[in-house]
Amino acid sequence: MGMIIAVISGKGGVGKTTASANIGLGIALNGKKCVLVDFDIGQRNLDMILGLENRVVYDMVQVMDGEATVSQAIIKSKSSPNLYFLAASQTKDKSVLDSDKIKKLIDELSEQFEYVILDSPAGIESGYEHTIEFANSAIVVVNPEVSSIRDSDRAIGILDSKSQKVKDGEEVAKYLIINRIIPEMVSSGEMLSSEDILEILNIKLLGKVAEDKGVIDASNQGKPIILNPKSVAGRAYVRISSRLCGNNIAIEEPSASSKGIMGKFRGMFS
Amino acid sequence: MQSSQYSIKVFETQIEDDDKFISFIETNYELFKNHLILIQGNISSNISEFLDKLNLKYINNISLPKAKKIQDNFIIIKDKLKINDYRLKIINEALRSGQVIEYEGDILITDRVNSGAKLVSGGNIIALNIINGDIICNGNYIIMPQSSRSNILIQGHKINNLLLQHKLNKIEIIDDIVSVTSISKKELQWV
Repeated sequence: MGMIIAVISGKGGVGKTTASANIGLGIALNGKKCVLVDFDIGQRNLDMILGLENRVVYDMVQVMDGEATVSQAIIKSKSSPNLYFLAASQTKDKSVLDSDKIKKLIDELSEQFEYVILDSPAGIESGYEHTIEFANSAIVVVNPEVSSIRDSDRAIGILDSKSQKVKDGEEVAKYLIINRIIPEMVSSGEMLSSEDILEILNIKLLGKVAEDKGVIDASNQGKPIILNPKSVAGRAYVRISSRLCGNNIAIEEPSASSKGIMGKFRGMFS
Repeated sequence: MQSSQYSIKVFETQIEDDDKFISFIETNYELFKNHLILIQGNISSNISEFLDKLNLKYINNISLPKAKKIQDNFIIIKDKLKINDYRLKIINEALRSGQVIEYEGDILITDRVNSGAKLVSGGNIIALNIINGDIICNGNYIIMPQSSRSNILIQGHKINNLLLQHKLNKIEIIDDIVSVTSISKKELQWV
């Protein structure tokens, strides 16, 4: 059975979908077969970030209802032959989800793929609970700010009580990605440090991603930032995906992306 | 005419609360054995039965002749500490946002209480780690470290976080006034 990873955050807008797309592609580029499932029913976005919006024919709700098979509904990515995508329904809402149907779908996917990545919706309602129900690990995405951390804390608490694996007496592996770090603000003390966040959430650190303006453009163009080797966020996702594939890579402290000539000059003396 | 003069010890009191009076007499029985008890005001049948049972002499509503007031050395009972029959609840894992723990007895928590989590007790609370969540204690005291974010209530009193100056603070309500004292005592320096 493959690794079933739910990407969660609690709060919206922290970069869950971007992280899902980049991690999925990164794993695929490591030569592992990976499928990305958009669980954000009614607000699907992952197809756009992957640049596959015009290819969606069947969505996961239709697969769960038996209107289409998994092989009909999954879409092969343009960027890697190992990456597949299953879209969320845009016309239905989260109330259509049903535990038995989700289990059947996830079981089927985890037989065919080494990694199944579930992009969870924001919030902690039924859509979120269904996403985490059958996952065997979770990636928690936070921004270094108090509201994001409190919401993630809540999301982890629910994961620890509602997941099927926990109900069976096992533990769900939890990994943390600290996203959108602004190194200057951390060093000046305006932004929470990674140590503080880890102390509060008390889960394993998977990686740190610096704030990168290139992410917006990458999303708009449908080319995940991981494909851009010049981007700091892209390189961070390369390392994160590699760690998920079992490689031991040291955590890198994010540094300011582009300082300009004066910034670099100042950096030499700081 | 044969006569005798005595000087006796009189204990004069007013009964406000029957139970308090009974426990006071019971505690100081050895002293009262040889006293004459003078009770001003009404005596309930409960009290008179109790005094008769102990064979204590008492008189009621009499103004004493000129007498010398002496210092008494009775033991005054403080209000009994609230004692509950619940076992201590020990929590060894962090409380995450949204989690609520309610317990009628005493709680000891060794891990964090994160922002948005809530701890409610009928008894005392002893918290040893970082507290950012809500602490609602209906017992006698809270022992906790400094905390600038926590919302602390003890017996309905809101505690100002700035009062928690020590490494470990004991928060209690004494005569309706919040008292915060340090738990850790200064270590003695042996020469």
